[in-house]
Amino acid sequence: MIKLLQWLLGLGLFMAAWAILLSGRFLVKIPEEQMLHVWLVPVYTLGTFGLACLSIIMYRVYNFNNCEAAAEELKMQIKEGKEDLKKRGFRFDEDTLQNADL
Amino acid sequence: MEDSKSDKFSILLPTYNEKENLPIIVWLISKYMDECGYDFEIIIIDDGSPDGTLEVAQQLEKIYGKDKIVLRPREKKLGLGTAYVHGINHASGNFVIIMDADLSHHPKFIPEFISRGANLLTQILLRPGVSDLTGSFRLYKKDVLRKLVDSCISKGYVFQMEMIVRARQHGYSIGEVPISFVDRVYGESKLGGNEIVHFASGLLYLFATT
Repeated sequence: MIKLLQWLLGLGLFMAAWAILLSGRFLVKIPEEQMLHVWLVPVYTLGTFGLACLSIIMYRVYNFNNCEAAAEELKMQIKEGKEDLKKRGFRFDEDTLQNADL
Repeated sequence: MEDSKSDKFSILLPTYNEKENLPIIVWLISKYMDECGYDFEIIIIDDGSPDGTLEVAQQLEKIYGKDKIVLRPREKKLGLGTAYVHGINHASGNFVIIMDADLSHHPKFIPEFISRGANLLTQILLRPGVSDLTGSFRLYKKDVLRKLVDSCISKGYVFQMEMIVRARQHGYSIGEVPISFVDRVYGESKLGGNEIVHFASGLLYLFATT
């Protein structure tokens, strides 16, 4: 089943459960004073989801690590590679007269 | 892939203005593949770079030989998907590695990709999905790559995501290898602002059709 249909099915089930709670007819009977909260269930759900996303993003940004060792290793290998290639006959732009930055 | 020694690995390098990075990445690929004794070729697909990338590639071809460095340039920028197809058509290996030419994908990880693919029994089949959908440092079996590129219609980052989605639809196994990603030292990124819009619309497309 495609993703869109999966989400529509999930949404449908959520709406059905919500409708049952609102109608007060099957299974659960909610006291009048609490009915406001039942109406607000979708808002609460979205709010919680939003907060969860925000927390995950902040956590990941905080823990994002640099790979200094890898960056250093790469710099050294760039030097090593250039030297080895020069020995094997490669001409880098810095060596040729055509590259005059005047 | 128990006997990796009889396999040949074709490494596709689509390039655009990578004249500083290209010699280094070729040197690194050659170093690591030779150290591990793997048979390989590097297919450089340059899309008419104005900075002289092709001349650099020609020097490398002289140094490493025509069987190791295969030049298949194109006249202008024609996109990554078609670059892969062009590369596969000239690849003599049975495995294909795609990667970025700007040194953010380090060739030292290629032997790890190869040995991970070697043990299919312990390969991890990912659910709900892979941890990095847009990364383009990958090892494919050649005929699988060809089939997947043919079944994808998106462009840019979404193309890489669609490849994974199609791979799972076809029931192929996918494994993951952790790598380090060092931001490029030389040259300029080709990533632009309108990529975000393409990404969002591409994501919706995948959501509604797969």
